[in-house]
This record gives sequence, structure tokens and C-alpha cells, in this order.
Amino acid sequence: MKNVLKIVLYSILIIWIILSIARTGNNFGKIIFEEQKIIFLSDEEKRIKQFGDLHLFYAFVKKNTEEYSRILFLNPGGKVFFLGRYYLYPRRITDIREPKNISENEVHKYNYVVVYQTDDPQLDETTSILWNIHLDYQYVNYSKKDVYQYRGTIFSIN
Amino acid sequence: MFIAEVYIFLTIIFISVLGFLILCNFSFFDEKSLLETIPYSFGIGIGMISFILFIYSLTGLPFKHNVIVLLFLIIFVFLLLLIWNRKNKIEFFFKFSFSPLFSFFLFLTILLSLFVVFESLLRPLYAWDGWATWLMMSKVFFIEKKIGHDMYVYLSTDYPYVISLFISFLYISIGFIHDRAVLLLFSSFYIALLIVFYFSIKKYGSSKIAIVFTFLLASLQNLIRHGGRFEAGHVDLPLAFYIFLSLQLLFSYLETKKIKMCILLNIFLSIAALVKNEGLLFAAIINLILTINIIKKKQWNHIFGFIPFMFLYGSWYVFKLMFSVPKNYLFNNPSIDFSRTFSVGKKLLEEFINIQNWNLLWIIFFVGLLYYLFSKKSTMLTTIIIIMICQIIGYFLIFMISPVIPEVHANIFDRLLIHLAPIALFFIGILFNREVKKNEVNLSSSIPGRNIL
Repeated sequence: MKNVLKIVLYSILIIWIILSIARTGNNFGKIIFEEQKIIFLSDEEKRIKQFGDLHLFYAFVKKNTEEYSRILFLNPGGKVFFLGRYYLYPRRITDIREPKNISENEVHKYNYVVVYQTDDPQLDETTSILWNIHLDYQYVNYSKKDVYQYRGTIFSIN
Repeated sequence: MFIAEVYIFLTIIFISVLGFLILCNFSFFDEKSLLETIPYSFGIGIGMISFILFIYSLTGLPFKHNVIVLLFLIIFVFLLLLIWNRKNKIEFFFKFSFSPLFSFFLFLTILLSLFVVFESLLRPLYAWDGWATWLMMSKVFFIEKKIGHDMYVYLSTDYPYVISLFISFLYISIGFIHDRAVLLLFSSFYIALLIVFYFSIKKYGSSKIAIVFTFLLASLQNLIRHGGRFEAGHVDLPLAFYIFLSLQLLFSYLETKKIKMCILLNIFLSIAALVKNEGLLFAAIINLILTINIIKKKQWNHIFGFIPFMFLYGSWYVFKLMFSVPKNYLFNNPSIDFSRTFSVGKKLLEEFINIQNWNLLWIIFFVGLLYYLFSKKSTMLTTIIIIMICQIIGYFLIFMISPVIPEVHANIFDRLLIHLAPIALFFIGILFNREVKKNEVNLSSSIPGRNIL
């Protein structure tokens, strides 16, 4: 039994070494076939390519909100919220996923209410594109459409 | 262009030198080459900087660029003066065998390292946990210029601070947030792990076997991803690094029986526990082994070796208690759901045979385990098996109590196994070393007059 296992061990090791050498070559092939598309892009272009509309939307939010504000963020999913929390800091973001959670009492605790809607399945967990949000405050709109729709609104509360 | 990357590279060199000076005080470098000391210096340097910044923040003083840089320069000069008159035996040159086999695998390993560094510099932060947790904390610490408990409340996390705070230190050093340049840190962990792995295997056998297994470790796709390609920003690779270093220090302690080694081991264990919560589980297992060893050998003064862990990790634990840092969501309802046993086991098994992530690592590990059961036992290999079983059982239990079902956690299994991958490959490497040595002894003893190797 021990000798059989020994043969199996050596065999697996040899196969593994061959496989690893092949994958090393494959990894370097990725530089030519995959990475060459992004090597010469600027940092901004890479972020747009990586995060798509989210990068542009957060830039829009940064431009239209104060740096140390409190934001009630109605968003369609985890990626949108967590990436937003990272990009928008030091703005403090509170996460809500349903329009019914926006109440008048709640809204007054914040400087802004930000709404983001999309039908992009990579981002949307809640069919957010169907939301119909109206608040009696000044607002600015964001909108983009390519394969999917992306909509955003910033309501200024205080 | 690339100015931030150069600054970060130089900062990493600086903290490695700082770590080197700390370790000189432990006479750690006797009979070690300079290259072999680098991973340990790098590891302890990061831990010490993060800990000092943590304590600094508790004084209420804000993080200011000039103050922080001056502080660490003073510490650097102090450590230098401390070891000025010591005689440390360090071999500045290391001996490499330049046989064709060695050269070939060394070349491939270096190529992979360069690839990982290239990948880490190529993209902005991509890993979810990077922007959801680890680099989020770094950004918060940097902007707020402190570590405040309100930040942990805002982030709803109790994750420890070493990597996040060290990245904040990198931001402080360069003066601004650059979440692409700091990913160089993760490729540094990848390279440091390869270096320590090579010397760990070489210690017990030949340099040829060591370089082959180092290449096999370097070529694990999951490690490449965490070192730079897409998954840099998760802290599982740094944790794997500290776990592996701690294991080597455990063996050094068991061999040398010196209390200094016990102290050093506990420093690295506390850093592991402060990198990620899973490191605490590993630290508990190792400290249990240490305790049993101390009791068996009646080396009661070695109990003082636990003091660094109690102090370094204890200060973080007290901070969490004093400032009501939110409890980890996994322990909201800590009752074990045994109905999940099959689904968790199935997910784990699927990951073990995931060739895309691991090549044939786990397959060869289990075959090697079986082979070892029929072979002569050694303390080292048995210890490794016990540690791995305990750690895997710990992860298993976490999935059994988690409020989230295993299917949602599916992408976490590969990250947990990274912590143990270097240890598993080390086990196989030592096993092969033993077989090769046995064959060489058999061969030489069958030839009359030839010396036994």
C-alpha cells in the first residue's frame, strides 16, 4: 500500500510541475492578450472600465454634495453601497434598499438623500429601476444609458 | 508617474530595516543569510509600526506626516544604537546551487514574482473586501488622523487593525491616498512568503527540492490573485504569511528550547491575530501546543514568553471592550446548526478539488497524508497535521454558527484555505525531502566504501 501511495505521490507531483509550468506560460500570455488593453490607460480610465457607471455616478455625488455631509443612500445592492461608502468618505452614508424606508422624520437627520437606480444585473438586487421617488426638496438628476439604464437623484435636505 | 509607487517601495524597505534591527536584539540571525532574514524583518516591521501607531492614536494625538516620520526615525536610531556593539553573525552572501534544474525553477519563480508585482501595479483596488473593509479602514484612519471607536461603529466591524493601519502609514508617508500604489504591499507579502518558504524547506533537505516546491507555491493561481491579480486588498495572503512564519518559529523554539524564541513566536502570533480574526484561532492553537510543551518539559520560566501576546493582542481586546466596538456579526446568535454539516463539507470538498485555484495541491496533500500514516512518524509532520486539522475544524464551526447560509459564503472557502496552503505544501515538501534522503542513504549504503550522505 505504501509503495502504491509513493508511486501515486510522485506521479501527481510530476503532473503538477508540468501543469504549473504551463500555467506560468499562460499567465504571461495574459499580458499580451488581456492586459495590453488596459496597460496604457490612465487611472481614471481604468476606474471607469473597472466600475463602469458607478465611478461616474460617485464623481457626480462628490461634485454635488459637501465633503463632511450625512447622506441617506437609497441603492439597489451591496456593491453599490459598499463601493459608494468607500469612494464618498468622509461623507457618512446610511444604507437603505427600499423606498418605503424614506420617511419625513428620517430624512431630516441627513443633509442629502441620494437615490441610485439601474437595471444592470451586476448591480441591481431589487428592481430599483421601477422606483418612483419624489421628495419636496431641491434636487439634481443624473442619467446614463448604454446597454442598461442608470439613474440617480440627489435631494438637498439641509 | 510611479512616484507614489517608488515612495511606497522605499517605505517598505525602511520598515524591513526597522524589523531587522528589532530582530537583531533577539540574536535571531545566527547562521542565517541576509536573504533569509528579510521576510522576518518585513513581517515584524509591519506589525511593530501598526502597533506603535495604534498606541500613539490612543494618546489622542492626531496622525501628522512630520510627527509620524520623525517618530519612526527616532525609533530607528534608538534601535541602531541598541545593537551597535553587538556582534551579530549574519552571512551577507548566500550560496545558491546553479545546477540547470535549480536555475530553471528559480527563473520561473522570479518570473512569477515579477508578474505578480506587475499585476498589483496595473489596476485600481478591485477586491470587494478591499474597499468594503480593509482599505476603507485605512482611508478612515488617514482622513480622521486617528483610530476612533466611532469609526468601528460606523463601519459595523470589529476587524483588527494591522494591515489597515499600516496602509494608513503608507498614506501618511506619501501624504495622500493612493489605493493602487499601496497594492504593492500585497505583492511584497507574496515575495516574502516565497523567500521564507524556500529557506524553510531547504533547512531540512536540498536546495533543488526547495526551489521546486517554492515554484509550486508561487504558481498557485489563488496566491497569484491575492498577491496582485484582482484579489490584492484582501488580507488572507498577509495572514498566510504570518501563519507560516509563526509555524517556522514554533519549530525553531521546539528545537532550540530558548525563551527568546518563545517571545519572538508570540510577537508574530499576536501580529497574526491582529491581521485577521482567523489568526486568533491559529494563535490559540499554537499557544496550546506551547503550553503543553512547557508543562511536559517543566520549563516554567517560559511562561513569560506569552507576555508579548497578552500585551499586544490584549491592548486591542481592551480597546474593543472599553469603546464597545460592535461584535462580529458571525457571533450574533452563536448556536451550532448541525443541519449544515453536509453542505459545509460539500463546499469544502469542492474547494479542495478546485484545480483552477490550487492546481493539485490539496489532492497531493491528502495522498501525502495517507502515505504518512503508513510511514515513520516525525514530531514536526504530526504537529503540522494537528494544527491544520484544528484550524479547519475551527473554520467549519464558524460556518455552522454563521447567520449566513454556506451557499452565500461560497467564495470565502478559497480565501480560508490560503491561510493553510503554504503549510500544506511545506508538509509535502518535507515528506519528499525525507524520501529523497532515504533513497540517497539506501543508494550510498549499497555501494561499498561510499560515505553516507
